[in-house]
Amino acid sequence: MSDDIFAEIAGQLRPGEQTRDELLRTIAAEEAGWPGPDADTRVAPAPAKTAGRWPMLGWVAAAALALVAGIALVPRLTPAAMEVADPPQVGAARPAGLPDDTVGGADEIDEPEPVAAAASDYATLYAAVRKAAERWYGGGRDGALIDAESAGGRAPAPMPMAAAAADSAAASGSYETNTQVAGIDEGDLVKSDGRTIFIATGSKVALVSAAGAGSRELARIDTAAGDAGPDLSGDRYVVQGSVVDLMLHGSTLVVLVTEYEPQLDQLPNSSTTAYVPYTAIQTKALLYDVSDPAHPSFLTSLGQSGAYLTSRLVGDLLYLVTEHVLTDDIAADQPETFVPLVSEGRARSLLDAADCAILPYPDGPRYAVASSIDLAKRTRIDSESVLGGSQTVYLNADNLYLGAADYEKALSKKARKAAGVPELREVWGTRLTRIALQDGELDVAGQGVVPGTVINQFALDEYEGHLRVAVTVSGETTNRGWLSQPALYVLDSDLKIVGSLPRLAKNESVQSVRFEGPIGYVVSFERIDPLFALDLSRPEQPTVMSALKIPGFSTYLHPWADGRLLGLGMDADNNGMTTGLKLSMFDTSDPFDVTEQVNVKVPFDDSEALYNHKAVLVDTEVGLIGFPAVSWSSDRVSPRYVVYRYADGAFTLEEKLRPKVSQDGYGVRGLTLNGDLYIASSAGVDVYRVDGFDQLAALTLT
Amino acid sequence: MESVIRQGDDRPAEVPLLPLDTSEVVARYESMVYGIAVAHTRCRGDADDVYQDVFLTYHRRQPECRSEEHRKAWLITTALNCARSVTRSSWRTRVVPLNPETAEPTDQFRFATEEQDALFGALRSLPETYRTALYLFYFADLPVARIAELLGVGAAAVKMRLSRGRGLMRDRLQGGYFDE
Repeated sequence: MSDDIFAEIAGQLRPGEQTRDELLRTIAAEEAGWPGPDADTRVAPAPAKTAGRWPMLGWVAAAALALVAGIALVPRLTPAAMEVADPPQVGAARPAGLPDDTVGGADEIDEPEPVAAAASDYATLYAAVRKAAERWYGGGRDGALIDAESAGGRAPAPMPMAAAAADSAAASGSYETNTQVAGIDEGDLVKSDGRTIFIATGSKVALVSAAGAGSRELARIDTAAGDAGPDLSGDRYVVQGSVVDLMLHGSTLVVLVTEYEPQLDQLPNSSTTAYVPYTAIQTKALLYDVSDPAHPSFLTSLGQSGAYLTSRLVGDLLYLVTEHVLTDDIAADQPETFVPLVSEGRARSLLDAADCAILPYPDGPRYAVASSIDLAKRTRIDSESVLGGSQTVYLNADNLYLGAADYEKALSKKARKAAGVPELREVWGTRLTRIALQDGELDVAGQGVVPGTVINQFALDEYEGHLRVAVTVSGETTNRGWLSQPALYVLDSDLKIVGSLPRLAKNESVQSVRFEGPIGYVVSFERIDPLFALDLSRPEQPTVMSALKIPGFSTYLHPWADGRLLGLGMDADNNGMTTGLKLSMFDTSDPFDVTEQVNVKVPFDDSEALYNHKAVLVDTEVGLIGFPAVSWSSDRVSPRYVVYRYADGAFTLEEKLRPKVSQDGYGVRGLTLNGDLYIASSAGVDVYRVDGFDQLAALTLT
Repeated sequence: MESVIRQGDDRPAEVPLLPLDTSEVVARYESMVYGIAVAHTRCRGDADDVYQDVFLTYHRRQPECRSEEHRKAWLITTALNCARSVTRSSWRTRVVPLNPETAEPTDQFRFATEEQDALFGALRSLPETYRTALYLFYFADLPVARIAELLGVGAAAVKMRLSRGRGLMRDRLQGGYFDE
């Protein structure tokens, strides 16, 4: 390649005239430094290593690992304070979504950290949404989101309700999606009850019998058809997207889909082809009776505003969490323009203002919307929304925790002090909301903030009434340096920090986290790789127990059996350059002396399992570990499904199977059912005997 | 499409040019920011969003830049983070074809020649680690030391990323996609 081609390419990399004009118009309409004497705009971000409003989110993907282990929260030693848990400080009269931003910079003042408030009425909510929208979009965009025409077309229709029926028990030899919390299922693209495998394939769901050599497709559900499909009766143009996840409860299959509406007002009037943004209108849980898998029948549809975030299943209760971003104009006298809605069949209703909590500094006009749906009764029990959105969702039997990165407001001096990071001049945080779950009722019960960002749901865990959160704290120090460090916080039920390890390591960031009852493990990385053991027997005073240094880092940790912890991640050389996939088995039987018992280099370059725990198959009973992986090392990209066995203290590569993969290469899942290994994706299913990996059957789903 | 003229906007500026008003900053750094946006997002609409957001953020925050290099670093870092934020957000990037049979595929940035399309496409298909290093080195003309500083890693790590990234680029440009 000559250098000329780079210059030629670089020279072409310019936006279209329309895009540029739009920007320049906005800039011309706004005074520099808008929105005026606001604390946020005064503080210039440190240019060298930091960013504008987006903190560094773990850019540097090289290097080694620190495994922080042993968060030993011994139950007997939990503090007496826990027994007198204060009532949650929410529902205050003050609309906390309206921070007093007329005061000076965050550095100069020591403001109190406001807590999330429930909106007392739609007017309060409107004011908060409008404020959030102004902060997010700015005031100069032709009145976007402000006081415009009605969105229209949302007339309620009669709601068809199916009669309730008891679910039959699952068949034996069942497959369980690899989840965070034992006993709590998570939605995924492939589900099985051991008898039938349900596979999301585009807008359809394939039902395949898990019958070894006799496996075959039994039926296919078209989610776009009939009452399950989009409501086309109104004057809005609605498109239903692909199946985003499945959930299986007895003989009820839940199919999650999102409806979109094209933003046709953004169509240019002069060009023949154009990019049209689609706005997520609502995400629907479509319930199907699959007691006869050859003849699935649609039961009902329960929807809620926003795009799909995640789902959980606890007993009969399905929890559905979406993120609803307001992109259309809002009007004070039209609540439907700014209040999230829920739907049953074609009928829609707005959430009550009391079910709309407002984060202190909402990161844009976006809501996290959570619903509980009783799958036995096929009806929604409750809904709750939080203005400020969410990216990270952790749910256990008692609480739903929402984590929202707060890029709007740096932590106050008081919050920085409480978090043990007074040396940071400017640091962003993650807002946490606790929604208490009581028989399906959802109530916002606590709100708090920790500095830094969380990597995924595994960074959050509740044990004995305390929430533990592992974060990467990045920020500008008082002497204008830049700092990035893994930290661990212990919070009480009001989400106030009661204990912390604010500096687990220096200049590293969290790569993976796993809590296992009273023990917690945190993998961070830098060039050299400390592996810490922490004693958190006293939530107020966590301490480091031990540290081990090994190359590479794990991006997924899985508690094995017998004091072992499985790590899946990347290997790295001495320069901290990643060199490929790696499996590690850590011996955690003595938290004061955690060791890497054995590791094996996996001869592949990338894997969905690095980012998505649901792509990992772990069958500790037979010692099987399976995951999809791709290799780029030859002159092509080769997708495989690799199977390892861990036995007698060693990993053995059992097989590299060729899975049927869709174009994007994602969504390949391995299932062990009745002694057979099924490798399923939207492209098809392959069946192998686990013993010897003879191929028994191959089905193509097109 | 703009004319294929390489602007001076990605050369290290020795002459202090501060201050400029925002529209001048846009003119000067447009190609650099838009390039990062295209390389790090999935479709043209997202790239447009990143481009606009970066300069709007600049306009609103008016970061105190001590030097032109400082300003450039601010823009690069903000663009990278903004691209990541846009790519992650669930609502901007949903493009559902109205009619799957006839609809255009996701609107991608197109270059003048197929060779250029293939080269940039290969770059975009790389993991972010390599993509960013390669982009900043080859298209933003940054020296290794500056890239190291921007990404918060050592110079050796940047060199390794460049070397491995080049290898991956070569693989992708030579081979087919799947070996099935």
